[in-house]
Amino acid sequence: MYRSQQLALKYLAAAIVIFGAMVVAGLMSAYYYINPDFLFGLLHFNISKTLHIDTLVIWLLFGFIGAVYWYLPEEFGIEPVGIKAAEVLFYVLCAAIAVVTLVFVFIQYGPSNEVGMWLVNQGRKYVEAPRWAAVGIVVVMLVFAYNVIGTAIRARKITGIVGVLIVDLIPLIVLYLDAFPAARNMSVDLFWWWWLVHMWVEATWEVLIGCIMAWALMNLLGTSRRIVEAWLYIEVALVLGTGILGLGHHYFWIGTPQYWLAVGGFFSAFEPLPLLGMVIHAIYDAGTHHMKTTNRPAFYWMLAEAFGNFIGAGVWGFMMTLPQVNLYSHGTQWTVSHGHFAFWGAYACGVISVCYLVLQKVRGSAFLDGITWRWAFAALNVGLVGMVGALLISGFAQAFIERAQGGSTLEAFIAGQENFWFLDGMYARFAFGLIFAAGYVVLAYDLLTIGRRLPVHAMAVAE
Amino acid sequence: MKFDLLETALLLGGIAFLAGCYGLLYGVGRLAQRQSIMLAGFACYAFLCVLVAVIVSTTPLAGPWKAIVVVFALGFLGIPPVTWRFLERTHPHRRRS
Amino acid sequence: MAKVSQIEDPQFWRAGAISIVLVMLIVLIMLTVDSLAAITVGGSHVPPYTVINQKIGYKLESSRGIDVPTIGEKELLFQHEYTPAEAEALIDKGKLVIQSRACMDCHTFFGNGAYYGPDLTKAWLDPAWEGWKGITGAETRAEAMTRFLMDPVKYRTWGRTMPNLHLSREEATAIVAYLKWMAAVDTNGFPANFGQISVNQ
Repeated sequence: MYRSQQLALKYLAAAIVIFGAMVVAGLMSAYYYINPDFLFGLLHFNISKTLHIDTLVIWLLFGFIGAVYWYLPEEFGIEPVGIKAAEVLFYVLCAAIAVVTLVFVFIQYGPSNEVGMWLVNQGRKYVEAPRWAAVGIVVVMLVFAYNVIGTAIRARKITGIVGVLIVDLIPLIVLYLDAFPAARNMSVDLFWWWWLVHMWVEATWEVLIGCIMAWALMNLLGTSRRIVEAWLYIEVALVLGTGILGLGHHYFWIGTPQYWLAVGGFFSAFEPLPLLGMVIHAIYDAGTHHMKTTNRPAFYWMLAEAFGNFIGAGVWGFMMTLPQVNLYSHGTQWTVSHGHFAFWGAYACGVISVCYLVLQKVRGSAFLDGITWRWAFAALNVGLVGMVGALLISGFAQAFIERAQGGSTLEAFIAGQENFWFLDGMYARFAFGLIFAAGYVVLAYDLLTIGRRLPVHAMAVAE
Repeated sequence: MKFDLLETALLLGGIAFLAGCYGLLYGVGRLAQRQSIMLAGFACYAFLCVLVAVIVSTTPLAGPWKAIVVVFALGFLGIPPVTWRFLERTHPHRRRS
Repeated sequence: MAKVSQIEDPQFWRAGAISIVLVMLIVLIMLTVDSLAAITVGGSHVPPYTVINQKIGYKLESSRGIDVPTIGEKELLFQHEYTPAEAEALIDKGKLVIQSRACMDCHTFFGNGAYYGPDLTKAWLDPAWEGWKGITGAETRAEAMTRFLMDPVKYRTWGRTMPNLHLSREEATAIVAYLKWMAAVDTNGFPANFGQISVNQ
């Protein structure tokens, strides 16, 4: 095994641990809605929410980085350049994440000046981490880019997948630089902030996971490179073709000109069409292999990715993206429902799939299957769909009562939040959150033991 | 207008969802070479058309948005067969079999 | 035959991907240049910071069919007329306070943020502050908001209590100014019908 692949294992293991932290912070955030006095005076909703969404970004990013470190040496047949620096930075990054978490939990707020921004909390959604930690993330990503580009140069070879990956790393890093400024004008602040958040999540990340899925497909189904690369280019064209101007759906209401209603509405209404094509592709691949594979969990998680992406991003997105609907749905639990479903389908399932592919190689299993992963798969997906359904009901109630009927005042907000449909949705969301958490525990156990258990059973039988 | 908010949203979501059902049944029908499954897929698409008609005739969406919904609904019809043909052309092992 | 090989050729799709991405990026850059002019302070959608010296409203504009902010006669904030430099410094402070207390991880601004507390886009115009004047013993809306922000636990609103974020008077004042300025931003009609309907009706 290459050193880069050992580093990949560390990144993937850390990703699963941070996934767990995200689940805990998520359960806490959900619990505040049903018991607002929870930890009052000690730790408030905004801190648990910050931890929930920041760990979401970090665990997925760790998953992507780990997957690339895994496939990179196989792609080039040599040890990637600069792995020693990457190894050191992995520990530095983990330590930084731990320190930032402790700062968020125990210090929470800094002074309202530059010192607070640099050392404690920047208070911009998703990029709350203080600037010193953001500098660390930039350094890690620069070294990551050096590993990829340097290796391609040393190997004197460039493949289609690596080419796309390298081009994608540039906006990935450049856009993250928006994690630093504190623009005085909220409209300008949110304008660039959406460049970062939307272009990461709906553009550069999509391309990154596309590259990783391309390697995974070659690995899992033995699809030829020529097909995979053509497919990757088509995906890039469709995702960026709709996604770049799809940015407009975030520019409906932040002070930007009215033409964004037309631009954003059109391009984001377009998004389900390519996603339907991906569903057809998944069915085709599954069918031509007669659902036979040597790695059942990876295969099923990949299918979950295709369907989850279509329903979460496609169906849920189409429901709320036209401006006339979005005027009322924007900024309610309806958005939360869409966010959970789309992140799960587009990224989380893919990263879990890659974890199983890597483990098959690491544990040397010719055939990866079992009962445990099925329980994890079922509990996580049932938990997620349940949460999303519950949030949708709460979101409908909120949009209707607070926004459409009540005119969005404080009084209307309270009426919406105290409505029984809203509250029942919140209870149901918490209950399904517990099922999801149970699924996480089973998943973590399965990832630790799958491929190891079978020989033990075999020995027991032999005895 | 506000009282049509949830109906409009559910109709739009229903269109995308039925498009997914149509794609799924179309694909599975092609794989299994079963006419009945593909017919079920087209039935989903027919239902989708009904929803589009309801959107056009009853919801408060502005005219251009209704036009876009109609155009994209037609797009949904074409995507599964076009994608399928493309996949068959590009995957050589399938052509041989 | 030529068509078949083209469809199977990754190079063909690569060229397609590059062209589409370039076209979209060029359009995005053009729209960005135009939008930045509109959202710069003093642009067509975002008022100058000195708007905090004036009366802000929110009314239906029939030509656009949506609610838009109105900027009326002089209405001083904290009985002080802010110069452009003073107003900018105050708004600057307000933004830093909002970030340092992570307001956005409970509340939303223009609908962006977290959904545990109410949206703050038009908070300055909320009719509820009239009642707050009596509760806090303040003469003006701005003073009532300041007193609430400095000790929200004392003036509990409903089931969910806003925690005490230890704001100084200067910091609370800056937030109030920020919310007043923000209420004057043209948000294409978001939120709709703000404050024009009472839930109890």
